Amino acid sequence: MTGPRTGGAARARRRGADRAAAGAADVRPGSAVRPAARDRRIAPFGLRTRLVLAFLLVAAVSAGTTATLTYREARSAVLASAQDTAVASFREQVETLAPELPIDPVLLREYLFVIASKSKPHPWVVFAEYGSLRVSSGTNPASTVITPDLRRMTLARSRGSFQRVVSAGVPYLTIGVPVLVRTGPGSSMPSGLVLFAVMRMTDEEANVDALVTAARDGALPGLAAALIPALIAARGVLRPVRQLRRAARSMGSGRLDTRIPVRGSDELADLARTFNESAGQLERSVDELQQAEARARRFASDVSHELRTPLAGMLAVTEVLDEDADGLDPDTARAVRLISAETGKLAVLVEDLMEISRFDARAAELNTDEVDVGETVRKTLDHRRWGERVRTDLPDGIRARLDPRRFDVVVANLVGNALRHGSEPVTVRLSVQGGLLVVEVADSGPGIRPEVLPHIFERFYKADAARTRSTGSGLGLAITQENVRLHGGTIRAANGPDGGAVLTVEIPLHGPHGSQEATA
Amino acid sequence: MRRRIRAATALAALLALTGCGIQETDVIEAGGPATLDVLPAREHRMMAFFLSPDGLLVPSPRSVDTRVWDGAVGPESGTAPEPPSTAKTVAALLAGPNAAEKRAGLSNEPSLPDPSTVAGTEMSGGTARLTLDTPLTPLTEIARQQLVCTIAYAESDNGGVPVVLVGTDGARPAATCDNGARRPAPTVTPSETG
Repeated sequence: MTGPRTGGAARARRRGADRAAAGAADVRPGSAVRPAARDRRIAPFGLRTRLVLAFLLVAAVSAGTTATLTYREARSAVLASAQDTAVASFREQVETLAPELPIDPVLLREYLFVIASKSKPHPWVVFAEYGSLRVSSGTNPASTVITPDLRRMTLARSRGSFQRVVSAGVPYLTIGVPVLVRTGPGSSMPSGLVLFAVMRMTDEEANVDALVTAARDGALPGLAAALIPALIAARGVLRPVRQLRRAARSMGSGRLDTRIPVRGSDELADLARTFNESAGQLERSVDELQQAEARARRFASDVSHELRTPLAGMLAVTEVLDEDADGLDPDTARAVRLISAETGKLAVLVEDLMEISRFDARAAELNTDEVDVGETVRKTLDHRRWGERVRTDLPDGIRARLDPRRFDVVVANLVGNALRHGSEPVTVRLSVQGGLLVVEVADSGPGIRPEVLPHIFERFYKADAARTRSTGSGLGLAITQENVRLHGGTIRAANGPDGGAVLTVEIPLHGPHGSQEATA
Repeated sequence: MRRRIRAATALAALLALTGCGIQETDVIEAGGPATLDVLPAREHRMMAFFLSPDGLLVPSPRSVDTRVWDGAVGPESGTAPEPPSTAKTVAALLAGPNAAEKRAGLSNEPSLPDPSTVAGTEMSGGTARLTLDTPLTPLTEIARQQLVCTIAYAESDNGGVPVVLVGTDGARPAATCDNGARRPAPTVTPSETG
């Protein structure tokens, strides 16, 4: 059960090494400036838009409120002036009447014409009511504009009243004045005669419309002017925010030494300072972790190295013992052979460990060469005398840029694994798919259990937990994977349709590209 | 988000409330009435109160005395003209509107009694009294007002005299003419209405 745990730790170590390598590769001290095209775009509801909108809203509200209040006051003044003039002059005109009671309609009409001719400030039409008589200075004896409310108020109260009415879009001022007759000094009584004047307020309407235009013409430049401080303020806020974003992105991509210039003493400067402090702490922590990892890695590497020298001696001795084993008594011979076999395994394990250490330390080199892949695979199989046990499908003429030694390790590991854990026949199939060299190694065994599949490339992972004694080092597939990666390729394991395990390696035909060649 | 919506609503409401152009208004009282000096002097008129189609009391003065124009009475002749008697005025009211008054749509309240029922009028202690030879119960309030106002203005210039109506079924409490008239308060010197 120690397999997965060790594998996980190794994975974490490797990730740390990757990051350390990436960080070491392109550190640019204080590099916070990397103008990307999308930095410039304006988000639909970004900070700038919101700030500008807020400024405009404030400006609009204040301009609107000012304009509205001014407009209302001015409108009231315009209307009040017209109304007061009209009401006063109408009453004045009515008081010049001298009708005889009861009213004679013909005479009354004459009077109304006189009042209408003295309209002020605008022409009005005069209507009179007396009992059931309806007389006017216009064409209709009764008005359609005068509301029942005004009529009732004028009839019921001994006071003048007016009302503004909008009829068919035209504003009218309607004035009602009851006529009282004097019955003595200081006393009077309603005569039953009431007079109404209806005056169009077209001039006032024009004046009021002019006020609206003036208010609008005043407010719009104000809004335009508000746009300038809005943009300036947005810029002042957005620049530090943008810097912060770039710095955060830069840190995310491994440049832990990224810092932001701190300007001023506002909240944004505080934020920048906090960011810098956090970045410093993070950098220190990561540094410590990396050092610890490096120590652990070096230890593993040193142990392997230290083990190699005594092992070489032991191997030499066990070879001699092996040769002489036949001459020993059977018990001793069995013990000698066991020691010899175990020493051989130990040597393989130590070699594998050193190989893995080199990968972890990024010290593995890729020495590529243009080779015929089919030929290379055939050589690998022949070299290990697997020719009869492995079926091959190796088309001629597939050429790829590979490290022949490492590719040999990959093929040998995969085929050896298949022969060891699966059952024969084992098939090696070679093909080219879209610029990728594809090597498929399939066996005819029971396949790999689904729960094991994700882990088989981990170090020291044992597919069968009960099988404590393995013939392999437990590092074969891990080393294979590292080698494939070094080529810029991928490896994956699956179960074939017939049940056997299928391991597929895909390697770019023209060698690894990008940073891997540079960093390797 | 909800707060933003609420703010927008408030703004929209403010704008809607403001409105543009000229708005309608309610009826607004402005200043006093027009007061005319067209009534003939009390000595030369007989004034009855008829009803308009709107149910309002409308005074209708009738010139009764042509002697003033002849010079038979008046300052030149040295004879002070006498106003027509209240009894005559009440009889004229009960007789109904004349042609000109009818043309203006003036009428009598139907429950008013016949002219022949007037038994007498008298003035005592600042209160006018009309005695009718008929029950008062059928009289409507507006009919009673027609009588009260006609009598009050016949007995005084400004109609401020209380009037007691007496019928065959008893007397009614003293009432004053309530036609929306303006009178100077009894204790205060001339009114503010001018």
